[in-house]
Parts: sequence; structure tokens; C-alpha cells
Amino acid sequence: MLYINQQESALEAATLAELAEQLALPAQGIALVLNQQLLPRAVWAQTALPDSTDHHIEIFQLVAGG
Amino acid sequence: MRAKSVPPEATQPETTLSDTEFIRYSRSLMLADDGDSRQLRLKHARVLILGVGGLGCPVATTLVGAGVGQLTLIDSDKVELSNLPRQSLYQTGDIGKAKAEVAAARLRLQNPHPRLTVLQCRPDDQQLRQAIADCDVLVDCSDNLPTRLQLNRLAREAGKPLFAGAVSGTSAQLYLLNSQTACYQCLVDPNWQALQNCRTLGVDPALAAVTAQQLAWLLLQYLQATPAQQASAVPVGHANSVPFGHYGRFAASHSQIGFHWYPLHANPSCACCGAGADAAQKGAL
Ligand SMILES: [Zn+2]
Repeated sequence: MLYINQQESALEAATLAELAEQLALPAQGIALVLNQQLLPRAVWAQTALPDSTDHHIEIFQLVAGG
Repeated sequence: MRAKSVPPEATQPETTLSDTEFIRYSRSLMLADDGDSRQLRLKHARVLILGVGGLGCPVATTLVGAGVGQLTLIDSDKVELSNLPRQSLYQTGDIGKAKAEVAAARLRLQNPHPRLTVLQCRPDDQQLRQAIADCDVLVDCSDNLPTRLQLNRLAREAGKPLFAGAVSGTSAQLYLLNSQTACYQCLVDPNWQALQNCRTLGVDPALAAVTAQQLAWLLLQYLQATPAQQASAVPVGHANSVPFGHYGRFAASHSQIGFHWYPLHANPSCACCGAGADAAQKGAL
């Protein structure tokens, strides 16, 4: 089962990149945390989401102000 | 560019605190058995803060109040009316004045001991490299992505630790990086046209202060630690811990209010710290 920002999700994706595509995430400025690990976009395509286990995903907007 | 520096009181590295320093810092000295040594390490610490706005003002105030040895303040902006709700070093009469200059003047009134240096400019690489060379720790409190990427790159180049905060709207984030960890550019695409700043999204003044003081607390932990403590990897949450390589995100839900820290993974092909950087270097040779 996938949990996205603490909500159960019915989406099915083989990798984080596939999931990002299904969610239509913006191409830039987004952070994605998989099971407490913050993963750069460059590794999303190689990061599998095997359905043998639950995955907890947090998605948030990066900010740059100060 | 103008650079001003107040000469240190003594040219020899000091090994004791003066009587007035002892009284001034007495409430900090009580906090640990080795309070004197911790205070002296802070007195010898040299910190650079890039950006003296909603984050930079409280961070500078806490470090100077606590007795940091040397602080370099860099900002090219002038004080604006809309800064005043959260940028506590500025007053209504300061509107139009150079931020870094006004900030340094206020901080000198707060505590005459720290050496304060001001760069009232948007530094190019050479200017920033020069400022970095004179500091031990770099603090990013800037308000734009190009500056964040610049300081990230030059921190990595100099091998110096980077403590950074970012706030916009109702979001607040922190990242703590050094030469052993992933870098900011692993996470952020340099081509991102970041519009997530205080001008476009506004900013919660209390959240800016919370973020700045979380950063200041981490800085004081680090600056007062022994070199051995600084180098040791300690678990997040330990009193002496600085979670280098982590990205913190403020969240408030039920009883969990505060920063949640996530290990930031490196991008192996990062153009700043990874294979992309090696390739760029080889290409340049
Ligand atoms: Zn990197």
C-alpha cells in the first residue's frame, strides 16, 4: 500500500518516477521523501516501489526565501 | 563594496574570559560542566551569515548575544517598510538604509565583544570566496535560489560546513551540509525558477523566528563543541548532535510541532559534488 502525505493512495507505480508522473508533479522545486529518506529526482527512476511492502511518501514544495 | 572591521581586543588567542565576559555569559556558563571551555570555543568561532533578513536578524542576534568571536554579515538590500514585522534589527527610521550596516551597528550596541565585518553587496564568487576564507562556518539566510546555489558550491569548494534556513509562506526548511554529505544542488535543479519566496508567498513572522532560532541553537551546539565532538557522528536528537546531511521540514500536526529531519541522499551525477562535477572539471582541463 502507498501512503502519500499520510493518506492511503490507490495509485500503483513501479518506481518513484512513475508515481511522480501519475501525480503530475512539477518538474522542479519538489521534495519527495520515501520511507523517511529524501531522494533527489535523479534517483527516482531507479527507485522501485515493490508492492510486497508499504511505502510512506511525503511530498512537499521546496522554499528558498529568508 | 565596503568592508569594515573592528580590530580584536587582543592579538593573542585568549585562553580565559574577562570578568565582564564572565558575568555577561554567566547564564550560559552554567549550562555545562565545561561551560568555560565551551564559551571560549564560541569566542574563537568565526561565522559568516549571508542574508540579514527574517532569518539572518534573529540568527545574528542570538550568536552575538551568546558571544561569538567574529561575524561577517553580507546583504545587498536596503531596509523596507514590509521587512519590519519580522526583521528585528531594523526600526521604522532605518527605512532606505543599508541592511548589513544597520544590523552591525545594532549588534555592536547589543554586545561590543564580537568582531563584526560587513559586506554591503551581492558578492561575486571572488568576494564570497575571500569572505569564506576568513570564517569557519557558513550560514545561508538568503532569499533567492542563485545565492543559495552559489554559497553551496563555494562551501563545498572550501570544505566548510553550511547551515541553511529557508522560509516562505507557511513553510520552513533547514539543511545542514558539509563536505562528507550530499549538497544542496543534489536536491535542487539550478534551472528552477524559484518563485517560492517571501515576496510572492508572504511569510509568517513567528515561523521565521522559530526557524532562525532552531538554526541558531544548532550553530551554538556546533560552535561550542570540541573538534572531536564536531567530527563525531551522533544520532539526531542528542544534545550535542548536528544532523549534517539532513534536510529539516517544519510540520505541525497534533502533538508533533517542529522540524522533521530526513537524510538527504546524494545525486551521484550532481554537477556540484558528484560525477557531474568531476566531468565538468575534466572538461575544463
Ligand atoms: Zn551535490
